[in-house]
Amino acid sequence: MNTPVRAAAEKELMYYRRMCNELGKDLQRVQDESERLVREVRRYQLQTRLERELSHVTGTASDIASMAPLVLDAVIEHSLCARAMILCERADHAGCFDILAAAGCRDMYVKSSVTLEEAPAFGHSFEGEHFPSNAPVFFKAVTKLTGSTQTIWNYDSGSGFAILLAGALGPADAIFRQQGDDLSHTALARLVDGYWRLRAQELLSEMTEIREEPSRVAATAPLTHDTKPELDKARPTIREYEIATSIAKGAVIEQVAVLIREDGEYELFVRPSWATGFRQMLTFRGHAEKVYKDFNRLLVFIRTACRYEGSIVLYAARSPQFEALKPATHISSLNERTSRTSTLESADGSDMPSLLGKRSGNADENRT
Amino acid sequence: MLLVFGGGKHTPEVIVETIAGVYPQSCVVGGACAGIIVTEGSSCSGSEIGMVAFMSPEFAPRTHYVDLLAHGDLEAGHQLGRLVREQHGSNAAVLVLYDSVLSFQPRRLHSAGLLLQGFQTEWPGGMAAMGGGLLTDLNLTDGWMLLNGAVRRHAALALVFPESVTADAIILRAARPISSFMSVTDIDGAEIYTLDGRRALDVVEGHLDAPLTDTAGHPSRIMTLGLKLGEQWEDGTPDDYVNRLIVTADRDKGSITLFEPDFYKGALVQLMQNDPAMMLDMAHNRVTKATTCGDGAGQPFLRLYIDCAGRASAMSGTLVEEADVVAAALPDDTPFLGFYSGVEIAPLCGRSRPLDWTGVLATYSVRG
Repeated sequence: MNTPVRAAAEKELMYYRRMCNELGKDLQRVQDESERLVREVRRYQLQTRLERELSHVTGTASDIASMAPLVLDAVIEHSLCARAMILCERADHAGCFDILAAAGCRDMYVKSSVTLEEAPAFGHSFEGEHFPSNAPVFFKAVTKLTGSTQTIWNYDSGSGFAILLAGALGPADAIFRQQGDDLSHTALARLVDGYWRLRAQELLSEMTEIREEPSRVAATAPLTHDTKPELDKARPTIREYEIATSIAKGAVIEQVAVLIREDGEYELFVRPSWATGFRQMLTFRGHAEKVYKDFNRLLVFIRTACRYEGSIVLYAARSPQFEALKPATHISSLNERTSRTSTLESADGSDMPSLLGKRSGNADENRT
Repeated sequence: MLLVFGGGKHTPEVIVETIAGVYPQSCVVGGACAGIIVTEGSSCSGSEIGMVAFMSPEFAPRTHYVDLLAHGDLEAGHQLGRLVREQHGSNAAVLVLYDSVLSFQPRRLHSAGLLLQGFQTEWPGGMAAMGGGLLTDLNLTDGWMLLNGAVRRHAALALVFPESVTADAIILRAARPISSFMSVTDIDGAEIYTLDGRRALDVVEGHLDAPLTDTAGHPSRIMTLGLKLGEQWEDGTPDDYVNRLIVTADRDKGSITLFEPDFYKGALVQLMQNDPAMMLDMAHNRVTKATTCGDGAGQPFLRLYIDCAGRASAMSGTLVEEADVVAAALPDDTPFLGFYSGVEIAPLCGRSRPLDWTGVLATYSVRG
């Protein structure tokens, strides 16, 4: 081939090569876009499937010990994670989480509990980049726990439950990142729903007990500043629904005592006609003792909700009367914890970490 | 004999122990898989287990294995070939399974090409072997094998069927070229340094809109290079290509590393893209056609589907699982089990080759 013809042929070849590459690039771009859209649809499908599956699981499980592994199974089925854990924060120790269920940890030792300080409601860490960025200690602990630099964290401070997913570097990592946030959020939401359903069932069974005619217990002498009040040690706490139901049945609140704490806030104790002693008022969900800053609101509650018209005795902090009533929530917490632990142990016969029944706290929805 | 495949989230020792507890007399072989495919559906969560029980000596295979892959894939192949040659005729059907992952950090894989080369050198019957590379998940992080009840890593297993058994393969592929031919100008094993004299990573990324790998060198997407077999300048179909997945890249050196080290200096390769629509069509059409016409002489007793993990819907961007399409297209109730693999081995152009991004439906029959 002579030189001009060869040069022209080479130019033509280069032209077609460029065109071929451009067409290939366009084809790939179109296909990438198509795949992206399909993945979006797939993500919604997965989300829906997971929600359906979890609503069944959390709607039928009889206790948290059996619910947690089932929720975890559903999460790993859909999320392409390498490891997954369900954790629960201890009621009496903020930042200390019991690991209720774990999957994908065949090559590592999983402790029964772990301390995770400054746990955010949501966070993820991918190759050293954290969100939120102001919790490096937390992410360091999470990386150590999972053995992975790819983690997604979702935490519900109200119930103390958290879901932790860990991925692995590789071709599926991008999809794990894309789907993991939503899927773990959904799973946590359903788990918490299931938890509250179980709690509601417990309350319902308590309500059934209350619906029975309250037996009247003879009251002790009228309460004065000098009297040392007696705590009802069998059931040292009470909630508003119990008072309302019992009053409707004809029972009454016979005595009311208020503790003035050192921080100036008030705690309420009532002595119902069906109790053997004083019981401390808890918040609606029973997470914490009911505390008032405003005495007038406390008074309104006593006069209306408790329908109590008698005298109210106030005890100052550090007084003997104050000390006699103060252990109420502690006893209640112990009682509740003991009963929950035995429920968990009986569920699978294993030595599961105790599950918080009551979360202490400053999350008091009735605080004013 | 039991052929067992277990998802990567399982502890293999527990699988062995559990199966031995139920079937104490059985020989258990198999290994890890990225997912399981059965007639009712498929899943790649890592928590699945699939099992084939060979109840009759008429078609139960004999097993031979080596666990020396860490010392060299070629020599391990030779050794496995010698073991098979000593006890079997050259027309016996063979299923070869091996542990795909040499190490995760740095990402290194065992070479099916070298293993097969050694195997076929020692045993001519190995030219028609089928099989797959086993791994625990879609991110190629680990692998393990079950060899006669023991858990091993870096092992290869040959299941040699009696001579009364025949094996037929349907090979499903859907990768199309998206670039012009590029010449491999510098290569060492599976690591390609330059294409057309330029840094290979730059050349490949020139065809993409996003980086091929993340900062740690792990691939952020599935990309393959294809080597065309047969006539170079004729029209080609997906069946004319041997595709090699790019498993990692080195940004400093500008190199890319393939799944197998079987490309060579001077080879003309093209960048390949999987076509999801073609993948689903081909899965339906080929399986329907081949199984309707009869897989071959004899009565089929097992269909084994060895499917590249990259073809799972999570990775390939399809709304329908391609494996489900294959399962749905099967005409009879011959026992069927599939698993997601790293490499698929099947006869192509007269000899068994390691294939990437491929589905291999192996049908085992007893001669009539």
